Amino acid sequence: MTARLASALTRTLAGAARMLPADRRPWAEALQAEADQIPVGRPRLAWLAGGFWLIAKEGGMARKIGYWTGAAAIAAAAAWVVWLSWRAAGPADPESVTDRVRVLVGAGALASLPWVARRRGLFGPVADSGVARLVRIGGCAAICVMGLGIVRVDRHAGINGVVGSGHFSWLRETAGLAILIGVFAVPVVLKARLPRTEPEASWLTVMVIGVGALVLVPMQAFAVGLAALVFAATSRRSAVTVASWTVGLTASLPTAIAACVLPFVLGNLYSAMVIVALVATVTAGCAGAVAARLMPEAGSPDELHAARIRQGTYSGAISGTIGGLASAAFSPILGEMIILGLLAGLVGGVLGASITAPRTARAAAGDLSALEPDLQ
Amino acid sequence: MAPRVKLSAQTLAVLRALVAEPSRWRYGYDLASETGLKSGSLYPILVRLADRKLVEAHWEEEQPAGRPRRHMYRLTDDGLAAASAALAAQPGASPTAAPAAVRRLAGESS
Repeated sequence: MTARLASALTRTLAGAARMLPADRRPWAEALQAEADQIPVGRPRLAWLAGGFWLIAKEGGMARKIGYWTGAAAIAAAAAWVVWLSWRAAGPADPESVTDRVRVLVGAGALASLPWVARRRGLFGPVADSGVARLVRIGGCAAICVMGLGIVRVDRHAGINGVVGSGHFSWLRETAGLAILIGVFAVPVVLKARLPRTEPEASWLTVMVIGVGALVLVPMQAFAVGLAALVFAATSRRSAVTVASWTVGLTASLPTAIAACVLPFVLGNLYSAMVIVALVATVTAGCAGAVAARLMPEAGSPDELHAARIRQGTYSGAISGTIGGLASAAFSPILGEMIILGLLAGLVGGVLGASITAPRTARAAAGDLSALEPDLQ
Repeated sequence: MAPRVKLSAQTLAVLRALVAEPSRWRYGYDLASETGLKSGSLYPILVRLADRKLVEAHWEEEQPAGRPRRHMYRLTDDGLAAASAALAAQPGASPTAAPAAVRRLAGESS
């Protein structure tokens, strides 16, 4: 019995070793090659079991299994939301097509964006850090929650309800998507046409255009944009540092907590939303300032300044977006906070980073001047 | 002052076994028997040491009769210096450790 089990383990180990990177495979093969020399029985089984531990450790299996389990859960959640949207909206509801398209487009973006853009590497594969994996899974979950929100609103609105989305229009949907693509293209165009533009000015321009676009685009185009942002920000080519992610995630907590508590404490949705947006701006400002300070000193002062503004803005946007998404998921403030959170985060991030970046640059110069006597 | 560096007891046991006969090629089960370590502990330690070029590894060239070829290990010159320093830095050993060499080893214990 033990011999059979050992034989099965050996075969399984050989198969599992193929999942290891090429430079790690010989170690698993070495362990397996020596198994025959180990006394039959428990010692040999223990030796082979150690091989599985080696593969799990060297192949980062725990992290991969966690990530793919999360991805499978997201796929199941997206399918569930699509099913709910079909169940919630009756055929007599004139807005049901719009609602279904919204949900389907959101789920389709989650499924197709990484695959479509994989070859260019813009949206995937995921960066090799736990924070990036966590954010990617969390961001996709938030988009599913948006879908649930759409279904919920539709269910409560009823036939010809006041909280509706209007009749489906290809023209409106296509125009919305085009506007969104235009917003994403703004930073690229600015950089190409006006390379000497101050980073603060570039980001503020993007924000102003973004505000207009977010008001105009339909929800499903926004879902596609959000999915694209999540995949791009967490891909291997992403410029967001782990420090910016961590600071942004941490700073999103006060906004999320405020959004969950204030509507019940104040009893007024709009007052609560204003205060939550202010909290999001302030915390994003702090995140931007901290992320800018954490940027390691490298390159010329101008490059360092631009890099600090960039990381501060990323961190603020992460803080505001996640705070807004959490608000939409856990409190009665729905939808609006997703957009408000992102914008508040961008504004706060740019301001916080702008305040900190010159100061730290001066501080760095001061530190160097303090060393001068030693160099003389 | 150099920071205090702690190596795990398992890593030190592997280093002690390899330092004992530095020119001899050792194999996994041999090292496991001497150190009392399980394969799941021993091999990750060897992987880390090899990553830092402190241990060299190669497969037996000849196919022996009756058993598969073994993967063999021994300390490199750098590895011998680093391991000697790490073992010397342990409590009860003579205080002649080279801190830089000890720090180089420390990466694998974290």
